[in-house]
Amino acid sequence: MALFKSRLQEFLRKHKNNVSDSGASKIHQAPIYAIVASVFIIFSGIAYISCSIINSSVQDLESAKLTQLHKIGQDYIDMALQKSLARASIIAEMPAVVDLFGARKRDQLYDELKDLYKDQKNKYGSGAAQFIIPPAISFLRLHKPEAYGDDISFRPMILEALADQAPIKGISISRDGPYLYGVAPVKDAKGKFLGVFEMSQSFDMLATSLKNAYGIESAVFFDEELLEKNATQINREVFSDKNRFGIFVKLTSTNWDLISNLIEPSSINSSKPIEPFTKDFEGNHYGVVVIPLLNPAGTHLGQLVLFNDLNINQAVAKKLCVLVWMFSLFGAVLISGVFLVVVKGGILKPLAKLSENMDLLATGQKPDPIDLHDYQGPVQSIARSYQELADKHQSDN
Amino acid sequence: MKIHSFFKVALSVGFCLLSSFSQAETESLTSIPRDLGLPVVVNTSINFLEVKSINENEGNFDAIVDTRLIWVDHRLAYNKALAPRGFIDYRDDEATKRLSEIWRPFAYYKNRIGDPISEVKDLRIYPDGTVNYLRRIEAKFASDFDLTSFPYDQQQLAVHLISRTEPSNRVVFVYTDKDLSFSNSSKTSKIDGWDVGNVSLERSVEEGLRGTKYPELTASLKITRQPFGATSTIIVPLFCCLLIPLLVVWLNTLNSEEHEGFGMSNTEIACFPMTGIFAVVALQFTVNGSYSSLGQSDNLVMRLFALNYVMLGFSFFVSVLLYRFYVLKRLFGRFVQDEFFVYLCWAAPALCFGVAWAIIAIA
Repeated sequence: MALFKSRLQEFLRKHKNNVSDSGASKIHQAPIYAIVASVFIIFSGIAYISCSIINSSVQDLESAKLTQLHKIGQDYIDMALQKSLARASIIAEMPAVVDLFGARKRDQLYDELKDLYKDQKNKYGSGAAQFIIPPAISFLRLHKPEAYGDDISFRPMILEALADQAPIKGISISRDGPYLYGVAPVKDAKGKFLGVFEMSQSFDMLATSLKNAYGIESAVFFDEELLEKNATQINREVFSDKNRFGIFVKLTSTNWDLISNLIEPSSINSSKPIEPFTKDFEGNHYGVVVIPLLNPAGTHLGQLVLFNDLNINQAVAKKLCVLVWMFSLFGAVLISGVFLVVVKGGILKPLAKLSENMDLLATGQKPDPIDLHDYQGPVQSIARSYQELADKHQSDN
Repeated sequence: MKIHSFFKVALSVGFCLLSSFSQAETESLTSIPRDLGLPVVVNTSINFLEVKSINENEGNFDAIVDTRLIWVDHRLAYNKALAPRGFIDYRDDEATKRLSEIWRPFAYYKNRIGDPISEVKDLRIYPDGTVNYLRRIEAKFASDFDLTSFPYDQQQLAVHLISRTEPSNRVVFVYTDKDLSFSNSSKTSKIDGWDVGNVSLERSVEEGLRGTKYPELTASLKITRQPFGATSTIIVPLFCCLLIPLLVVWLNTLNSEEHEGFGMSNTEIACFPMTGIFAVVALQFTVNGSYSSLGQSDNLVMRLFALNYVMLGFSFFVSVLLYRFYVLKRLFGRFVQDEFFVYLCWAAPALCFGVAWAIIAIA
């Protein structure tokens, strides 16, 4: 123990010698450390604010991107509806169709249109196509000619088209499932209303188009209860457990493995507009947009969920923040260095040493000799004056 | 005799006609199906059954891959009664023979190296004319490895499928959710040193001559490197090497009575940068031996090596300018030299490890 104590005392004495040689004992360290700490705090603050601004800008960018995603989704729905209506209008105005439909010749009408419909279905993703007569009776289903004569008054869009005798478009759940429909009135040459013809586009085609054009992943969900009630002839596989998602069932998707990991039933289960949100999965950052699917009467039928990869923004933001912090560290360290070396090393320490020597001189003790080369600038003139004073004091003694 | 000759000639003509008719039928089946319009849509999926090895230095990997192509050719439609199982199945040689008789998309593996080690074919033709062609091959595939973030990196093991005989206005490779599901149906369970992710599919085209575009589909298996091995063998030693140049300032002391203000002389200190250079060069030699591709690109490891060399250079400058020629003392006096030395003791490691952290964080 005694050995340890003596060693410690020796170390402290040596250490004291080392630092006191430069006169540091006379300097008030607190203000210097306060300034250095202030420099670090200021640079940290600058870095923090810069990173906050970068992150905020990235969020704004993401928000703009998600708004754009929403717009693209909505535009594609409108475009699909417009296509359906255009096709329905063309067919509804074909003279042969008008004649055969007016004469209620079902078989001839089917023969007239079956090849055309097959092409539309196989090449362009057209869905259900149907002639309807008032009050709301299916006259001919081109996609299923054997099923006709049933009442379809459960579809508000058809009732509206029949009542207004005007073109209409919108999402609707028919016996065969949900489609994007265009309904065109069929009138003979004299303008007599014969009924309506509807043509549709499948949601598969919508999702595929979005994926091919923009690389947007999507999933289409419909209310299970509405689907079960109205789409009596839909493929029952839609209602399988793997497709069930809260109150919805998944009708189609482009990448279910990914999508099922990004959303939960609760995140899309709302009849009110859902704000776009972001989600991270397997180290990737995705933006999610939910577009409500409404029929023309405004009834909420389901959701179109769109996903976009936002990784690039995040990566850039992260890189920028790291660089900002690194340069701030450089700034703080270098400015502190300049301050410490110039102010403390060039001014304060030499002054402290001179002050110490002056004290010794004043108390009549012999001060250490100084080397004028160690004193720079204005301190050098003080040192020179001290040297003269010390020399004079020595010669007087 | 004459009657016999007549029959012989008639029979020959009959055979010729039959054979030419049969040939014409075969030719028509090998032509591209147009009844659904062009381009013919080929639903494509690629499943990585097993990844046997990954050779980053050579830029390739060995894998067993299933490729499924589905298209519709209504000319092949037949009566359902002929296929009690719902389809007619052809395997291997039978499949090869049948494929030579019908049209099929000539899909080549763009990045395959050499011939496949093994190959199995399965062809199913459904009554409605849907053709489902499944091909399993074990082969070596070229792959680009982006080592920028090594060893905290993710890689994509890609298989590129391309049709060079039919351009994209005649054939197009597409995929749906079902194809993606097939591509992820039997996940590669384990690859040594890697965590296995999902397979993603991506369509693209390759530009040909005169504006021709060839359809391409890329299946990429995402894999994430398990970083512990490389961290302990490369990153930790690199960080330790960063400490060597810092010893030049940490081990010296201020002492006004010796060596112009320093406790140790230049000759005692200069051995640290020398030792450091040997250590870093030896480490780089070892790393380049194990991961030759690392040395040929800009990546985290090379940046850390660069930082090591910069720090060694710094330690040489400190050793020579500060301890040997006392530049600061000669220019500005002892107090500035002392303060600069004290400053270096904390500023040099702060900046050094700050940059090292930034290099890793950016990667």
